[in-house]
Amino acid sequence: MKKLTIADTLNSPAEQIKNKVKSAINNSKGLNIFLETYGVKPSKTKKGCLNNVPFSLKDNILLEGKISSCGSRMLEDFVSPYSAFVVEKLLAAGALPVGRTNMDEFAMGSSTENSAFGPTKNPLNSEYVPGGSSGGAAASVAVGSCAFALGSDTGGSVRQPAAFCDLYGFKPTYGVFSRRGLVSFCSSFDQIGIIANNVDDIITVSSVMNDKDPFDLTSYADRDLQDIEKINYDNVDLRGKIVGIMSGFDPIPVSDDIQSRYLELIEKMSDLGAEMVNISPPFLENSVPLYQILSTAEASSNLSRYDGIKYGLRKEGKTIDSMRRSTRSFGFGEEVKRRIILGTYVTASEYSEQYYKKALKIRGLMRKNYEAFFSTINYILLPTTPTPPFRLGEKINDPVSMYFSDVFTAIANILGTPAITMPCGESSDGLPIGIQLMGGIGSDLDLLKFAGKVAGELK
Amino acid sequence: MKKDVFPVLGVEVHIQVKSDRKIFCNCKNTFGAAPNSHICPICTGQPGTLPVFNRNILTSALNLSLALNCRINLFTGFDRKNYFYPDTPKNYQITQNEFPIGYDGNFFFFSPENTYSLGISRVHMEEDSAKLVHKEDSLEKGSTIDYNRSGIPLLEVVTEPEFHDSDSVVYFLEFLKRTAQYLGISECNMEEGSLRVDTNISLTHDLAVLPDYRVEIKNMNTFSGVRSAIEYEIERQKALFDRDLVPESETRNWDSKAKKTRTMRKKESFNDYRYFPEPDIPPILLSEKNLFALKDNLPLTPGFAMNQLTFNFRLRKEDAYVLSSEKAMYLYFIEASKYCVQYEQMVNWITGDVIHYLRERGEGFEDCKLPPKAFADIVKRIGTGKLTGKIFKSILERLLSGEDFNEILENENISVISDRNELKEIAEKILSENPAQVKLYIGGKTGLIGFFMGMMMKVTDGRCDPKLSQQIFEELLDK
Repeated sequence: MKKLTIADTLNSPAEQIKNKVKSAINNSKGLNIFLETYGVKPSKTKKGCLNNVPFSLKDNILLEGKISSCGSRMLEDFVSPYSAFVVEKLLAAGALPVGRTNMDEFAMGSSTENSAFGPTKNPLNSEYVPGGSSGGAAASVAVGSCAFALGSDTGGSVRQPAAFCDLYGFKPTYGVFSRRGLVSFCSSFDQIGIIANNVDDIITVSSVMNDKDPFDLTSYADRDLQDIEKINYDNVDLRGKIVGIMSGFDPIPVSDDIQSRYLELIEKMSDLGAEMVNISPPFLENSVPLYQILSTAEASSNLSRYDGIKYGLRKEGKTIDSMRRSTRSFGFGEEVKRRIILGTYVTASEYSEQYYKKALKIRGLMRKNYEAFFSTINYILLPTTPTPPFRLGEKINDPVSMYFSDVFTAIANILGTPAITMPCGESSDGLPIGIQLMGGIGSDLDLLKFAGKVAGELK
Repeated sequence: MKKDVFPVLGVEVHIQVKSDRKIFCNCKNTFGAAPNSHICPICTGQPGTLPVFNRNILTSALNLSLALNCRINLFTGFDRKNYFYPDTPKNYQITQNEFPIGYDGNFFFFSPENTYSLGISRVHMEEDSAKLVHKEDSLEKGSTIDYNRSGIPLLEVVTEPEFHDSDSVVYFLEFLKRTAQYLGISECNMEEGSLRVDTNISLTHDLAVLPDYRVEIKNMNTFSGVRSAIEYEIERQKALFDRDLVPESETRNWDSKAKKTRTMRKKESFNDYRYFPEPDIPPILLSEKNLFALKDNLPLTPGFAMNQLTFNFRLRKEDAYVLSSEKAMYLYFIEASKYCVQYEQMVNWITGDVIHYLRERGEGFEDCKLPPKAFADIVKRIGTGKLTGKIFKSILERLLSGEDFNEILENENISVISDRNELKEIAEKILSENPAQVKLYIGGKTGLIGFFMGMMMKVTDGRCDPKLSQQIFEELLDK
């Protein structure tokens, strides 16, 4: 498994890249990474800074004229009428889409086992899940079929699979990447994210994709990201940086391997001059239920447009109601239905005050709290996941423990802050472990550079 | 003895805002185009699309709210109203629930005789739904959806339940329509659906206690339909009261052919819309400063026009009501009033012959080719006897097609003949040519003076000074 980086591809002849991608795709067919591949057609002329750089698209990010199924029977044949804003940006910079990758249906899941088109297997060990919901995306980079993958991160769906596949995964500040053309799951948490082999590549791709999109009112242009010319970490210094850490995880159960890697990294960073301060990140232990309430609430509304009338699957029925009912009963998988029902429940007028509205209030409080936090510390260091990759089938029938995979990642979505996971050694069974750095709102480039520096020191 | 019952009515009005673009996408806002010719991924609810709020609608919403004397939410935004219906492409409607742009208003409106004050519960912005077209043709049964209407900006006005009869509801609607027209928000054409009205009707024995049931009436497509539907429904409910029954809470449809309201859905199937803040559109923050600027620049309203016409110009309410029914007509009068103080005469001309001929030409006051100043001069001339109304009327069409009054005046004999000798000569000729009538007049049939005057008018093309002419005839005949 020879991995691809942007630098590799820019320095290789187009024909060579084409063959590399092809063979990587062919060699990994058994892992069920791609739902469709597009064929690699390198361009002769140079378009931009990502010329002929292959990338993969998670199946919920639209490419005009191609199917985007969101891993669902509901949209199995849905052809995108337009391209996502970030995809347009990448294409303009010369990047080559190699295919669309498997995912948990509508991005709901942490193992890619919820795909209507079968699970994806972890390229590092095919008995294990690649994480999710962007499992196919992470696996596509891990097998060397592309230099980077676009995923979507609503509660950790980019970072967790990146960690499970021993890769870098970045979710920016909410709004850095336009959501136009990303099929909505939870609008106020969804962000497109990048999975790659190094921080440099994440910075380059972020710089290309970031802009204010007139068709996404929540997007914004980040001057720092846009003005990058050459990436170097020489002027980044760990000294003087204050990094918040957790001294213990109680009551959150975290595997011993992860605790050890986490402690080692703290020591290492401390040796390099960073000031590691103990904090107990407020509300962390509540972030999963909070995330579940808010994300299912919005999802129940966002997914109601799939009714068999306008596009996608239609199951016949005698009346419009029965048509809609059979379409949705057949078209959605179990997990999606579970979340729609949950979301409908927590926003029902009888229960809204108790669940949805309360969660909104807590989110408001959390945002204030952490804003204050980030005025005194630079970053927060957290494990990316509470456990290393788990086995296929291990958690699929236990939704609550599956949801718990998001315990360290959902917080960045709730807050809207940027976060990046970095490979950080392995468990005693040889499974990859990721550690996550989180920065304050709008500190994306600063966070990436810091992460790049730390990653460099770890090598 | 039966206790009295009082109807209690509230009204919800949807106004389609005239705008270049729809409220959340760049599609054109038009009526009557080929089905599904103005649609895009956003207004058909395609996956991955996001609403982009057209801020021009905000100005319309604020202006209408201010014209209805509403309080303004400086922190406002959109919410989702979740319900499944085939005309709603996302199966939720983007509307305003928690922070409507305007609330707690008090609208002063007029009828030709009265002034009313009405509580306004709220004014809010939302998107229109697509239009379901039901095919009744037996060969091609089924329904189709036209998304041209999907995403057309709407303003919803909700009144307090303060009406007690159909008249005041219709006067309110008429004045609200005028207000929206004056503000340039909408043409408010009920036939085209740019003004849609729902009303809630219930009866009570005690006006201090709001009834605990409510019947909503939909599908009234004309003002007279609104009136008939309300009157029918009040009678229907009264009949139930007479039998000591309480009407059920429900939604009823007005059937304009059968002239009846019919049950559409019972309230048992209560819809929980599960409102929550629209996450795709950031909250809208308005500053006090902007609001003051808007208030200062609030376009003219028909309420202001009514007050000005009745207080400043001392016009009768009925006249003011007609004159201010169109903004351009009112402005025409205001401009003319700078040159002529014969306000009542001007109003009579404007609301009579001038508008009549303009309409025949398919024009309005905004493109009237007879300038207000020239019009004012003509009315002044008529007042001083230099021109007769008859002549004015006879040349009005030419004036409205752009001919210059002064040119006509110079080149044609249209000014009043008030020369005594000239008139006397004509009168003598008329008398000599009609000896039989003269004989009868002298015999006591003095009513024949009208006949002679008619002859005089004919001979002079209506240019004779009528007072003087009559005087001359009387002198000659009395001799």
